[in-house]
Amino acid sequence: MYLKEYIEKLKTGNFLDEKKWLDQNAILEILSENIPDSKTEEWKNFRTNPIKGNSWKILLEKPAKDVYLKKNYSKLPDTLFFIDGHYIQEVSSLKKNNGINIFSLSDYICKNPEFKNNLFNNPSNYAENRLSGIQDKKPTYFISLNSLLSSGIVIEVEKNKNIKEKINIIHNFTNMDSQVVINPYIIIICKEGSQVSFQEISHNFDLWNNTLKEVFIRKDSKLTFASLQERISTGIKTSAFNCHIDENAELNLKILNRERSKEDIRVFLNKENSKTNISGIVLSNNKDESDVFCKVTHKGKDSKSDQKWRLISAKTSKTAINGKICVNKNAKGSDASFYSKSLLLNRKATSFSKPELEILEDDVKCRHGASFGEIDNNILFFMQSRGIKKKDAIILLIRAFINEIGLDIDDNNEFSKNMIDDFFKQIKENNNLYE
Amino acid sequence: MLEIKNLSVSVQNKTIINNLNLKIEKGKKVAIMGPNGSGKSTLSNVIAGKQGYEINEGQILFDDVNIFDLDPEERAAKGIFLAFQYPVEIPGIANASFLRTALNSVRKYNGEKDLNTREFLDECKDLSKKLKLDTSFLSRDLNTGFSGGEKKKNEIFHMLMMKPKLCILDEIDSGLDIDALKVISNGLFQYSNENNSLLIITHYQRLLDYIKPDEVHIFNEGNIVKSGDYSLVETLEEKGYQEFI
Ligand SMILES: Nc1ncnc2c1ncn2[C@@H]1O[C@H](COP(=O)(O)OP(=O)(O)OP(=O)(O)O)[C@@H](O)[C@H]1O
Ligand SMILES: [Mg+2]
Repeated sequence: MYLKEYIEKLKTGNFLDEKKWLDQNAILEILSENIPDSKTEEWKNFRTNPIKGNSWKILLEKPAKDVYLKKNYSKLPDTLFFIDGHYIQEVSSLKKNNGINIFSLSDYICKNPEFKNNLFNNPSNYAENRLSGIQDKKPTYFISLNSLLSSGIVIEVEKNKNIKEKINIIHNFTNMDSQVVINPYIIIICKEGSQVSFQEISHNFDLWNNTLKEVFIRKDSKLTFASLQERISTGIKTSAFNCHIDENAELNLKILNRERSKEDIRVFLNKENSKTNISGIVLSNNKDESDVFCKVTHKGKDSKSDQKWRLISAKTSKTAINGKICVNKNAKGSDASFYSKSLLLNRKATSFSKPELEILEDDVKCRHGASFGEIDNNILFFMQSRGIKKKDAIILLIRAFINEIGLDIDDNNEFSKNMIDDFFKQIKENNNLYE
Repeated sequence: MLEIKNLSVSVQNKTIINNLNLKIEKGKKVAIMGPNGSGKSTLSNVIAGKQGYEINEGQILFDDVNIFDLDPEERAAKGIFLAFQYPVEIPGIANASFLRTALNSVRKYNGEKDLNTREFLDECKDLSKKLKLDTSFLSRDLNTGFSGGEKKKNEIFHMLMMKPKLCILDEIDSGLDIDALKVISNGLFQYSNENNSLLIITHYQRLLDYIKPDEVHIFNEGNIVKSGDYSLVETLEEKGYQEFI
């Protein structure tokens, strides 16, 4: 079905039953078809015209069994498989009774009706009071679209469970139709006193992948979440990550993003001693762009946040990071930092970094900085004069540049290594890797 | 080993090497001394293959082959080593792992198989002991936070590990304390044999006292203005460059 048709149906009030709880505003948002463009501050580094200019199709149903069962999926343990954005239990390998429970969002809401008030499908919850005071509602379109079209899956970590095994979330794509928009929607709830690590791996795709993750880290719990994106050849990714952190709770977020993607991260340090470390690598090649908006809001006393970003642009590509730190009134003793470093591999490559601070409390510590650079020719000559080939020297230097950012959750992690190697392989194909 | 014929090099239309002729025979130790800005480092860089210079005229033959078309890494693989006047810092790359990459890259070029890691590390440790370089320097990021003298020692460490045929030492002795100078001179003296050559660029007599060069050239404005044997160093020490330029 075409998205347009679906929207027409919505206008007549003829939408899916299970979405009845969905806030009316979300539907209005979709009806408005208000896709943000470069006029919206937060979207000025990402072209949305390929999204606007296409007639998208939607998949309201899971892919047929015979489509995915005949595929060979890796036999990773502790893995949740998503195919074309749908959770597929049959090929997943999560152990029973290990402290993690999976629900469909509608089931979860039946059991916990109050939970829907936590969710962000209500666009007004997303609207930003920008520094200029202008209410900027537009970025909510993608989130509303996602929550409207996706059934949503809830991953709940039981109270006081310390889960030793790393849990994999793997996104595979079988749909070959590049006209399709898929909407993976994952909700993670870490209940009080729990500890868990997830590694999310998204394979390459040719379609429009519009993902949403909403994360709740309750009191005294700790979540490590690594989100790793493979190269994106022809697809488009719009992605939102929202996280609420309670008292003494902590989020370690690790991101590997690629070209043709727009990431929107919002982390709320809601209570006393809430804490987050965010480290991200953004790699872009060809003439594509990779854009990240990352906002951390300090609401609780003594809350801490630390952001480290490394951006690499090859060829004529663009990387961008807009890191925003808001410290609300009464968030005394907050400590926030943001640092980004950009590396340009080509004269025509670009990178933007914009740290923004909005501090409404006096008793806080905030640090921020951004640096931009090219590969130093003297260093390159030094390495070559010791016998290292120019291309290898460049790769070594890039590796050193991103080494400070650890993506791995545990020691033997092939995924992040392979993904970064793949980027190197790709840029090595450039004749003039570095000009 | 090395033969430079009628070499003229300029940067931004300014001539830096001016019709230079220099021959370094196999097994010889050759010293170049010259005032600041006379073009000594430029010459080293041009021999090692650095980009960004205009070669207006001339040839550089290494083992009778013109090397102008070779990249710096190919020259290194053929056995040319340059110890930098200002060694660069590379954060994020450990010294030993850099050196292993360099050695393996050269070996690959010469059709040899990779080093045995164990043996490589043993050799590193042996050599660092000889050079009085703490083994922690192997795991530290290359030159990052090294003192000036430690950087110079590390250059010699790389050189002795890479075992080049032609060693170009651009002011290896500047910034070294007396003990370090002894250690390094010793290392160089022991390394030198009938199959390799040293090109030593320096401002000071002391290093040359240890090494005893076979030939000494005085360099000015991109050319050799006087050549002689070791006694030239003493004359220079007494009378200064004024006597020659
Ligand atoms: N890339 C460059 N651009 C402009 N001028 C240069 C460049 N490289 C070298 N020069 C100039 O060429 C001259 C020779 O420099 P070089 O470094 O070779 O001198 P040197 O003999 O090694 O001096 P020192 O004893 O001080 O090390 C200097 O005047 C220097 O400023
Ligand atoms: Mg010099």
